[in-house]
Amino acid sequence: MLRYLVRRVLTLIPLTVMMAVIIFFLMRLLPGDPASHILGPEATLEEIQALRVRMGLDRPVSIQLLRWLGGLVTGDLGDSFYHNRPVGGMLLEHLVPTLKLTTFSLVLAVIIGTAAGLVSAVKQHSWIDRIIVVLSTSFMAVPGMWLGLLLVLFFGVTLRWLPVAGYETFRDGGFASLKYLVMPVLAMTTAEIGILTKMIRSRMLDVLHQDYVLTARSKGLPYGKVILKHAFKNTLISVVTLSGMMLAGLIGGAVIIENIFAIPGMGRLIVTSIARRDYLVVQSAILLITFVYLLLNLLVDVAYALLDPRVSYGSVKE
Amino acid sequence: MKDRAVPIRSSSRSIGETAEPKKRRESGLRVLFRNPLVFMGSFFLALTALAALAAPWIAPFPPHFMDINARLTPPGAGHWLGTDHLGRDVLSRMIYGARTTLGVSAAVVGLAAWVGIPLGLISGYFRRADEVIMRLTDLFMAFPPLIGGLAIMAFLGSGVGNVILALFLVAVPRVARIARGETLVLREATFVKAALAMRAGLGRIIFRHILPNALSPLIVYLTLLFAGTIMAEAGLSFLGIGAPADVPSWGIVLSEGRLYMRNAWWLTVIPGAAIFLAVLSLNLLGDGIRDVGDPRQYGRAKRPGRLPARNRKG
Repeated sequence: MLRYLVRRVLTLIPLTVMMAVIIFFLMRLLPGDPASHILGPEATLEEIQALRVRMGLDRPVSIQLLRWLGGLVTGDLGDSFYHNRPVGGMLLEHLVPTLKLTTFSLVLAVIIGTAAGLVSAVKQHSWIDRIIVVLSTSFMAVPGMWLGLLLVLFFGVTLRWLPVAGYETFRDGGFASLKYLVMPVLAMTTAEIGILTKMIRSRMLDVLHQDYVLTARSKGLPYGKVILKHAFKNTLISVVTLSGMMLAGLIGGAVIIENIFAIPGMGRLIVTSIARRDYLVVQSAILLITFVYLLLNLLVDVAYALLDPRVSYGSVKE
Repeated sequence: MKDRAVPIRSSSRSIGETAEPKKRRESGLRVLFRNPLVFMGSFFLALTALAALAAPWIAPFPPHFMDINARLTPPGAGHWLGTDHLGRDVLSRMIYGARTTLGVSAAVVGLAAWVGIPLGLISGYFRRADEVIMRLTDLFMAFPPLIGGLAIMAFLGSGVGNVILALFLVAVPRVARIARGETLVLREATFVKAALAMRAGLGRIIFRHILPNALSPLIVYLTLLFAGTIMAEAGLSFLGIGAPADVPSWGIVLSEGRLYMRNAWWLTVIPGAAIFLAVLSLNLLGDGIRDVGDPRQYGRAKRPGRLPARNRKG
């Protein structure tokens, strides 16, 4: 197990380096050069040259690449052009709201999706199953941004129950700060609830039709016990795998939702920095959010390996 | 895991088949459209696609035509779906927007299939190419989909062509993955081995034996990819980094209407509903194709309560 963990963590390093290189060269796709892009057409040549020197663009590409990769290790990612402060600190500030949003949404999706999928599969062909199937199919198609806006319109503008937008840290607002997260989390998680419900339902149905469930039932075990211990326990493992898949959707969704609700997270940072042509921030933020995504995926895989005794840890013997 | 489940199901399927042998001769398309949800979904999609194609003839106004006196008119006789903050007709913008949104998505899915499926076939069939291609797809797929698109758009700048390129790069490795997975299974199939034994050429094996059998799951995936691409395109436009603001797109109509949400609900409700319906239709269509393409599903639907349930003791 330990060896598996170490191996997985070690493969993360080359992957991250490769991604850093890709992002670096993406930035070189900008027509012209970033400095003239940032300053716009009115800038004089001297100004552009000064910024180029400040951003290190006057050095050879190989040196720039090495500096960017070195910066990832030392944490010195350069200064934001717009805010005039180190990028590293800005990223850390913006990471927390995004992680909060993603975690809450994931937990909510897992609770509701698993419960609904379980009920739906056990009561297959009943009216409650039909309702759940219709709802989950519709939920899957709901664009998060649209739902977000509708929620704002209904709960924020008409009923005035919840703040229309904004964000408060837990330290400032305590539990009251959570009210800012209700609508964003709902908007982000609805589609994921739909997907998870559907998947859990179909996995559960698969398991329910397995022979060992039939055996357990035929030997006279109580119905509820068969469902929970024999069938559900085996479905639970796929909840872990599915959580990993949902992370991709949630992180993408967070970008849009943060922009609707003015939440100072990574997504908002990326989008505002794109508009401000603050490319150093953009490239670092994209790398960081991708890295976090990979890290969370790693956690999912480890959880999976811990939960399922059948998973081999990829030892050399096999 | 897959092959463990198959024998159980196929044995129970044969019971259903002998009972109703007539059903098997029906064409797949007929079976597909018998499902009312699939039919409604396809109908909506066809209607939207037709409207998009015929936009210049059926749209009541040009998409950029501004009637400043009729700003923020609610849906009614003159403007069926109302007007926006510049007095532009929402129905016309939606019809022209369908061109962008559906057109971009169709282009992305088409290109991704065109490039991704051959890549997947090669990767699944040739071990040596597999290593290289799969490491590359791993790398691309390490980015969460929307973030990958965002990264490319950030550096390419907005533009319809750039959106297509960005979403294509996001989609290709995923299509290749699916095609590879199918190929890996099929190359071990007995009929492929038989074809090999009969000295069938490489092209024949890949295009006559593997590809047709891999097509059904691929079509299902491409349908779902289409839905996902519509969402992604709308999302990028909504964030202001997709199609340029002067090209009408559903995402743009939605994002422009956001500021006037309080007084003009239709600017938010209508474009969102269009995206919702398009995505829902595609999902239903995908599910429908999967059910038709995978005969195992017939069997399951037809034998309710194989599990000895509590209330079915008798």
